Amino acid sequence: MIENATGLIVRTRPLTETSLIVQWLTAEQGRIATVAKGARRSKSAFQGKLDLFYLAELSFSRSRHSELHSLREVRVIETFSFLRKGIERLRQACYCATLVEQTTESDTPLPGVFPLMQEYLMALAQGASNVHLLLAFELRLLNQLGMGPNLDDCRLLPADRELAHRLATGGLLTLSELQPDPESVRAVKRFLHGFLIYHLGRLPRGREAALATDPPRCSG
Amino acid sequence: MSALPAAIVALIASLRSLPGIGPRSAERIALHLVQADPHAVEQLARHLTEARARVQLCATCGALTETSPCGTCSDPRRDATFLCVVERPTDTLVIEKPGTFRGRYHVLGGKLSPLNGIEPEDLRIRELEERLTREPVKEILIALGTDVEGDATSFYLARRLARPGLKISRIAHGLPAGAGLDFADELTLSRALEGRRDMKQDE
Ligand SMILES: [Zn+2]
Repeated sequence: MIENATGLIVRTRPLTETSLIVQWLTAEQGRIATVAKGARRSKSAFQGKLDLFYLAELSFSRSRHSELHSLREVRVIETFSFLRKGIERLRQACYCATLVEQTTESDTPLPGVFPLMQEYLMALAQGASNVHLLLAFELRLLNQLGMGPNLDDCRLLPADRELAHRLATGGLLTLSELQPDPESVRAVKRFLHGFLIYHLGRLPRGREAALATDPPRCSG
Repeated sequence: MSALPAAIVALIASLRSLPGIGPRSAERIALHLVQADPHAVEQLARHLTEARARVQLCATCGALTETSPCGTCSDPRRDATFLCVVERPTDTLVIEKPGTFRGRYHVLGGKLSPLNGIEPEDLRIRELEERLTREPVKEILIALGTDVEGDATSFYLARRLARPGLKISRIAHGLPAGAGLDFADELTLSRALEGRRDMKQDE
């Protein structure tokens, strides 16, 4: 059975010397894994089309006996090429993808999560300070999955609580212009740190690095 | 049909872990080996263990070698002012093939990959910085892959290694030799356009 979808590539890894496993985040089909046969050959029709966070239209044949479906065609819509030009924003996008991976099941529709990830990447493309944008992503993802914190009944101070509310609502794109009080950002970051550990059992890998504010991590 | 002896099953399992060897090839090789001349098999086994024991990574550049520093690092005819940065030890062999690069190498040992937890401290970047203080390097050629992580690593390196008097360049990416424009994917084409070069009469 051939299915069509629009999806973001959230992980790739070699399967054999010539084929690649590509994991997608889509709206209707949720997180799916496809095998792109021959994708690692230089003359493959997939060449140059399968890389991290590419947004694409894809068609695949659903496998009846495994969770690994067969990728047939890909048409790239957007490559988010800004991710190539700075490891900081790539780290943040990767952390968000990891968080989605840890909090959702594969082959289950994720109607709200896919547009959230897409909007997040668009907001990230605008640059500026990204720490509060990433906290907004965490809050919104938790809310989407029905496990968000009750902000009116938590230990945040009123000003910090107001920031948390602001981060959880409205368009993500408008948040890149927001210049919140650094103290409040730190408070929300600490609050979500504890909340994530409590609900997920451990902090998802890469959160510390993704939320480090200093741009390049240079030594000396 | 009788079951295979346990020794052959174990041999097949070992062979299957090798790259490019599927179950059928593994079985064919195993059945060949157990019926081959014992001396030839002993020699094969010796070559395997010896190669693995002797080949190491060059302490300076990180390439595969039997002596450290390697032949390239200790060859006075190689240009010590020109350093080519690659991802894996085998990438040096690829760059060596055309025979046009006369500088030396530095193998990073990977690329930045936040999804897999590979951060700058996991790569041989500090070693590269140390080389810059010891060796008369004037130009660094970054020759990493052009996927998202490869590009992000190249940008990171260019920023971190920047210092007065050091030229940092990247290998040009573009159309494969002998191919028509209609075969290039959009990304390759846009890179080829970005990396366009002046066609001066005297070049
Ligand atoms: Zn060497």
